[in-house]
Amino acid sequence: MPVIFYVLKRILATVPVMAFVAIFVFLLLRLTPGDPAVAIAGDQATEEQLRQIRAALSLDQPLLVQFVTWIQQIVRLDFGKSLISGLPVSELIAQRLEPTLSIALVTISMSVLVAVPLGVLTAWKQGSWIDRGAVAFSVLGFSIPVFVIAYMLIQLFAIDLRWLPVQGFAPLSRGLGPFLSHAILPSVVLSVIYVALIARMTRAAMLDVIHEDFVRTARAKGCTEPRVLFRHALRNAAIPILTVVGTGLALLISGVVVTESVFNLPGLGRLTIDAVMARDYPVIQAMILVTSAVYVLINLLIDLAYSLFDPRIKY
Amino acid sequence: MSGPVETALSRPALLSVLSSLMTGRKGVVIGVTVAVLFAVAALSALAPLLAPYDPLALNMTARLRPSSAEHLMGTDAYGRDIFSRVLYGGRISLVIGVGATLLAVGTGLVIGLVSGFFRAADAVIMRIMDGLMAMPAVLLAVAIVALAGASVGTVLVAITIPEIPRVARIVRAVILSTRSAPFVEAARISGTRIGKLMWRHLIPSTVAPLLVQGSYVFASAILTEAVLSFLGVGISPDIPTWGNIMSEGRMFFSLRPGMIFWPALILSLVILAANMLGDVLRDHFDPRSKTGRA
Repeated sequence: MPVIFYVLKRILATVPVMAFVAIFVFLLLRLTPGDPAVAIAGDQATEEQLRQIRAALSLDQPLLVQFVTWIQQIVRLDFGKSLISGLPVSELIAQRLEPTLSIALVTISMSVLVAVPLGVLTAWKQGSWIDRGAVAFSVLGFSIPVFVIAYMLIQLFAIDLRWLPVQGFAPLSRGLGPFLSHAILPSVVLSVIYVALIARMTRAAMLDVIHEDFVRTARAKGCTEPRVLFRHALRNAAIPILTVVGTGLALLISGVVVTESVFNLPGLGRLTIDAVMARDYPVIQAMILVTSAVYVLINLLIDLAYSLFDPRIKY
Repeated sequence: MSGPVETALSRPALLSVLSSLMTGRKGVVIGVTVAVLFAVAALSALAPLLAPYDPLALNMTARLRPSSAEHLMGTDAYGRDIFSRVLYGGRISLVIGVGATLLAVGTGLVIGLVSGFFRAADAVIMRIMDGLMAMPAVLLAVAIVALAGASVGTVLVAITIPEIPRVARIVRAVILSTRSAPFVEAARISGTRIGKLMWRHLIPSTVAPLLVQGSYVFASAILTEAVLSFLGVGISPDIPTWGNIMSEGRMFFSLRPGMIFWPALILSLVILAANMLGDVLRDHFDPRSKTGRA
């Protein structure tokens, strides 16, 4: 089968997944017991307010008509207007994108740079104290809530040592120094669970290949140990590691919501929580759709990347 | 195994599994983690007897006190005793943890069975599970709570839904690999009805992986509840939960870190115990597996 068919097949496979997400998000509001307009406006809402909400979300139309018009808008990236500010939701998201994207990118690059070497090291020195330490760290990382780690680090680095600002965000346009000094704590906090996840998977994937014949051959022909580990073993262990980098995004997105709340970052996580507090349903809907789409898209790209670049994979 | 009809659920087999678990280092880890979980459960259940104060009683003369003999973990901004609140808070966390585990494992088991056994339904069900997994757990839970109101029941459902796909996938994988096993074929050829086939021959092989995943679901549910409460979108702040106590501690964390520290310590201990229990069970049931959770 030519490559292009394979790529198309993979892309098409995401359609039913996103379709389910869309239907779920759509029905969530409609199937909640009681009048959705009351659920949004609260019990004290006047008849006029309720009518406005029904009109804004076209709740007064038949369900199927509502769904079709809604999907048509979504496909054009029109998520409707915020019930609170009246601004288009896509505009609100665009305004809040930078802090979230910055923190996420710093977190992902930092996590991969720390976790992959750590995983390789622990697999290489399996059973040593550093291996045990790393395993203990990863179990701990899964067990301590993100916000607790956040407060411990704020107390230490921002309040006691005064090395870093307590909270807030500085855009990259204000210079690299302020940007990094604000971004570093939230990113470290977010990294803990991500590093735990990736390091654990790297260790496991390395252990699977490290006793293979080709690794012994590489050693026998005189490769240096780092070359054996990183060029020969790691490359063959890459698929599960890349996969977990992708699936771990779900954890990262959930973590972003908490981290932005603790560090008072004006990003998408804060937008979502504010929307939840105000029951601004179009914003909540859009956030679930957008984050799911990002998750599906990145996992698709990872999937395509290793099936296209790994010569062992045939379609 | 004594024969093809022997199932993992039968009493002697179950006993031998249990006794093989209780040996060596595994036995120590299992003993300690189970003891921690039971201790916290007992403390929470006996909260009315053990708590030195009413967890809701306001005392404006004793606000934001540090730890002392009088108030073991200090008091909060309304003068409420944090130790008493932590004891009572454990009840909600554990109810949510146990409830979400039972719900997620039960629902996931049914979905996985149907998906693995009836191939016609499989593609559709698995795409739905993929869709559920694509939605970030906290966002999904937050949206459900926002719409349906923040009762314990809603929070429970909101926490359970994102956990179901993983359980369903695991069950499906087990069923797919078991359904063509000789003993299942034999049972099917000899005319065993579907219900009995599932109950006697397929479900028993899911018990071990479900025990493992169940421990992870328990840990994750308690963590998510704390996160929701902490964000202010969980169970009503009138009810003491570990997340709510920490959420109220946010304002005062540099003055009285204990408001976050104490609940966090107990919470992390419980989650750590559940995670370690899951890891030990996983290593025991599948010695080849060195990988992380599914």
